Formats: sequence, C-alpha cells, structure tokens
Amino acid sequence: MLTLACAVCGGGPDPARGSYIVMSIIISLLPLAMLGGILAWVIISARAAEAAPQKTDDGGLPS
Amino acid sequence: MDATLDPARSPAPTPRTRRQVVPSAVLGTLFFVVAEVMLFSGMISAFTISKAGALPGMWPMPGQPRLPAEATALNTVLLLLSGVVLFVSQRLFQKKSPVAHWVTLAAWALGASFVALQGVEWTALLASGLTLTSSPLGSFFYLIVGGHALHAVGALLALGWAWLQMARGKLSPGFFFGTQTFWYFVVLMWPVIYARVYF
Repeated sequence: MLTLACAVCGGGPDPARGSYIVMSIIISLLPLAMLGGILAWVIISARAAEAAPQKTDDGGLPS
Repeated sequence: MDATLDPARSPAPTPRTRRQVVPSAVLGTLFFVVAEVMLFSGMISAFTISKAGALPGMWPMPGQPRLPAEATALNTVLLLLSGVVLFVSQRLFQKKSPVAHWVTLAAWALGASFVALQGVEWTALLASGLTLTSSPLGSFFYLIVGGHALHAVGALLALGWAWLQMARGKLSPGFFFGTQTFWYFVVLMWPVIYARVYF
C-alpha cells in the first residue's frame, strides 16, 4: 500500500490525518465564502445602482 | 365602464425600467465557477491527503519522473499574463477602442501558448513513463492538470468566439464579461494547482 490516507475515517499516518482535517475545513468553508462573496457583491452593486439615480431625481425636485 | 380601465381617461402608466446591476452572463458564470472551484478543491484535497499519507521516498515512486516545475513556471507566467491582457482588453472594449479586438487576440494567443506548452510537457512526461496508471502521482497529475487543461480549451473556444464577434462589431458586453469571468477562473485556478501538484 503506497498511500495510507483514509478520506472517510481520518485514519492513516499523522500527516495524512492532519491534511484530512485541514482540507475538510477548507472545503467546508470555501463554498460559503464564495457564495457569500457573490451575494455581497450583488447587494453592493444593487445599492450603488439604487443610489445613483436617486441623486439625480432629488436634484430635479423643487425644495 | 371603469375609468381606470379606459386607456383614453387613465394616465399612461409610467414604465418601470429595470436596470441590470450585474450582467446575467457574469452571474451565471460565477455560479458555474463556484461549482468548478469545488470540483478542483475536491481533487486537490484528495491529492494532498494521498501525498501526505505516502510512505517516505514513495512520492514520486522510484523510477517515476519528477514533475517539471521549472519549465511549467514559464507556462504559468504566460497564463497570468493572458489574464492581465484580457483585463486591459475589457477596458479598451468598454471605451470602444478600435484596438480592443487585437488586445483580446493577444490574450487568446497567450492562453493558447499555455495549453500548447502543457501539451509538450505531457508528451515528455508520457515518454518518460508517467502515465495515468503508472503511479498515484500520475493519476492525480493527469486528472487535475488535465481537468484544468479541458477548462482552458473550453474558455479559449469561448474567447475565440468573443474575439470574432468583437472584430465584426457584434459582440454583446454580457457574453464578453461572462467569457472573461470564466477565463479569470482558469487563470486564477492554475497557480493553486501549480503550487499544490508540482511541489
């Protein structure tokens, strides 16, 4: 057996177990970070787009 | 008759204009890219765990060639450069510059050079005995790097089409930005693969 890593139970030698834990954390957080990033970008873009015409409209209204 | 339903009496409805804050093509490509990043993350994760669990002196296996990290550094530079050039071409495209399509072509050529040099590297590795079944390193190498190369070829096809449409003056910004997003994924994914697999 050349590789002793066990991706299911976390068995195998210590370096493999450490890698398994680190990679599990990365893979768990990565999709949340990416989708959160996209959501934040869309919200920021929408707010910026909403704010832009508001200024123009207000400028044209009599006080 | 209800006055509100009479078009002659009721005031014309103010058309509600919907402004697209994020191009749909970019958003769609981004969700696709998220899925693709997870695909590569899974493969890199399996590679990392397998490599960490290999017995001392068994990665790569005796008799197997080591990966040409130095030669691939040139490919990496070419790919990163193509990403920078594509970014410049986007700026020029937005300014409706007549040279935008030439800059896009330069980005495409740099990307194509990357794929071509990868092909040369693969040929040399196959000749020296590293195949899909020769060792775990070979299996992971062709799976991960091959998967990336497939994505690069797909992105090059889309970018080539974008260039053609740009040269004809028919390119829609949405398609171009979507293609760019995918190319940036190909560009930015590569350093991660290079750092993990080649060293």
